[in-house]
Amino acid sequence: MVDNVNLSVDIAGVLLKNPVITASGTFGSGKEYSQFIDLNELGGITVKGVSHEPWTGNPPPRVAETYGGMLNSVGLQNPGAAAFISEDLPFLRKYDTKVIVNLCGHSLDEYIAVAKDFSGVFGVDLFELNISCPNIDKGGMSFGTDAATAEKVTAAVKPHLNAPLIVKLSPNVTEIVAIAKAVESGGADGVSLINTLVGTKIDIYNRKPVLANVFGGLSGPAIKPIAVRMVYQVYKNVKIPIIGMGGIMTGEDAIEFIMAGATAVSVGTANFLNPKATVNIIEEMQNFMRNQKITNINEIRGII
Amino acid sequence: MTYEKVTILSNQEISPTVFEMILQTPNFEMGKPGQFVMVYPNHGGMLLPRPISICRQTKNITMLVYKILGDGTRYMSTLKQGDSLLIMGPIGNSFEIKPHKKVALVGGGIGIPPMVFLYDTIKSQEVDVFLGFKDTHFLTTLFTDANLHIVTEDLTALKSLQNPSGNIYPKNGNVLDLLESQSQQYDEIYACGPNPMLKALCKYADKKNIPLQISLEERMACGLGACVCCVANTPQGYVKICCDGPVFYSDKVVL
Ligand SMILES: Cc1cc2nc3c(=O)[nH]c(=O)nc-3n(C[C@H](O)[C@H](O)[C@H](O)COP(=O)(O)OP(=O)(O)OC[C@H]3O[C@@H](n4cnc5c(N)ncnc54)[C@H](O)[C@@H]3O)c2cc1C
Ligand SMILES: Cc1cc2nc3c(=O)[nH]c(=O)nc-3n(C[C@H](O)[C@H](O)[C@H](O)COP(=O)(O)O)c2cc1C
Ligand code: FES
Repeated sequence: MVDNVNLSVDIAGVLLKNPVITASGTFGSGKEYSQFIDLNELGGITVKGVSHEPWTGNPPPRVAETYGGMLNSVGLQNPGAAAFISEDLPFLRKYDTKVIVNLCGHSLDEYIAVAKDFSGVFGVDLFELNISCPNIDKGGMSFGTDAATAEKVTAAVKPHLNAPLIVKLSPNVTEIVAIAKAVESGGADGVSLINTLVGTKIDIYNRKPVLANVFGGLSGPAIKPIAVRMVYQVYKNVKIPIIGMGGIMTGEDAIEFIMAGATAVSVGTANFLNPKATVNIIEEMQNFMRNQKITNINEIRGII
Repeated sequence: MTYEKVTILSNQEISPTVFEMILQTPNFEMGKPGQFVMVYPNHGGMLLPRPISICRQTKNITMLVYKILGDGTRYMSTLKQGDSLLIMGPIGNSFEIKPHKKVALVGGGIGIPPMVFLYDTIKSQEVDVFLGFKDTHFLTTLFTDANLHIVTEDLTALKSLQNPSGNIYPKNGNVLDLLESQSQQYDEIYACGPNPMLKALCKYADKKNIPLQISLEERMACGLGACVCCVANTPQGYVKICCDGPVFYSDKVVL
């Protein structure tokens, strides 16, 4: 046993008190969970996806449960950047935690527009670019499934931002490493992975899909092995830091991602099972480190 | 809002596949009629909490009534006296109660539990209760002093029905037929049940110009207003049923 363990990590020059961050879209803007946990204890909070204009999202039902996972087809409903900046950001700034703003768009112009919405806005520590959005100029194909497009959107957005840029990768690709390398050369300061995997569920009694949108994004423990594999592959091939996510429920799950090469981790679906999941995970990571005589979390990063 | 493990005092089948679960909840925040709790199954491959209405509540006890529909409710039905259950609540807004003279409560199937809590709260008013069942009946004895109207598609299911006050008007048909056959003018109608029933009621209330409050259902994940999964459509766009609802005035939502 060791007494003091150091969990602080550095992502693109931003120092997090511990590697546990909330995953975009699962934690609202933090307010909703502040009645259960002390937000000051978190390494960071990633807010739900923000777009330049308000997005209405998809019709309900928007959620379906699958074994060890869930599908969502929220469709990035959000009130737009102006509302986020005036209503949610001031609340988040009151806490001693890093604020990560997740950006989304349907076209290169929309991505640039939302990046510009934040120019001159104080209080964002990191930006996370969600490139899993459907590209309306390319028939709805996701930006994140083509290396050249992913690099282009990264390079286009980067000059407009006043904080480091993390690009969030889509797992719905054949070659995750190719996309990671592309965004690295596009100027990304880090990558986060994985976003949800496209899936569907059929209600066999009513003979129709459960989700009104037919397809949804799969998250939760069911996707963890894929996420860990992708983090492992990307770590071996890029130099920029990685935020790992996908099915993290416990401190041990988080450690697995760190050993695969992640600098920090995001916790999403677990918040729905347990609104205190994030703080439990931090405590479990500390316990693991004490028992394993690890004094600094950085010792075990990428040791596999 | 309380999030805690509570003890099950009893869990009984009160009608085929319908269970009444009594929970010991001395530290639980008191809810209002229309509010619900999230039940965390934490079992097998299940991840998401299940929304269940508060059917009755006192200082120390919360009663839930649920129908087995899938894995979560089936798991709930296997729990025994003394087992613990993780729940969160009370969640959502509630039925708006006004100093009315005469109101109608309309419940269809598994939409009836929240109507019991509402009835407990407003029974000093003159209350007509309309309950619709498919092939069974439950909770009918809890509307003690109301004018109780029951409809079912299968009248034989009502054979065993006993009600101390005797104000039962079993009918073959649907709840709306029964409501329409009344000559009464109601000051307010409160309803919870399947969507086709709510849609028909909306038309009726609109025609008669009676305020109608309906409780809506949608699949949920967080129950806290964070995930935006549980939406209802309104002329102004989507709203979240778990925090803006579950109760809405019928003219404010698009069913
Ligand atoms: C505000 C509210 C109050 C409710 N009150 C009651 C009540 O008092 N008694 C009762 O029996 N039922 C009630 N329901 C419906 C109840 O939530 C579902 O029957 C239950 O979640 C089904 O879970 P399952 O695991 O058995 O079914 P499954 O079909 O296996 O569930 C899979 C997933 O879909 C969700 N789901 C499935 N059907 C519904 C539904 N109709 N509404 C919402 N989510 C659903 C589940 O929560 C779960 O996440 C209420 C629903 C809402 C939204
Ligand atoms: C309901 C829901 C909404 C989400 N919304 C977003 C979003 O707005 N932007 C984004 O980049 N990812 C979004 N995600 C993906 C998560 O941030 C995360 O990448 C994914 O769920 C995997 O992590 P998990 O298994 O811990 O949930 C969403 C996920 C869920 C379940
Ligand atoms: S269930 Fe998450 S917002 Fe309503």
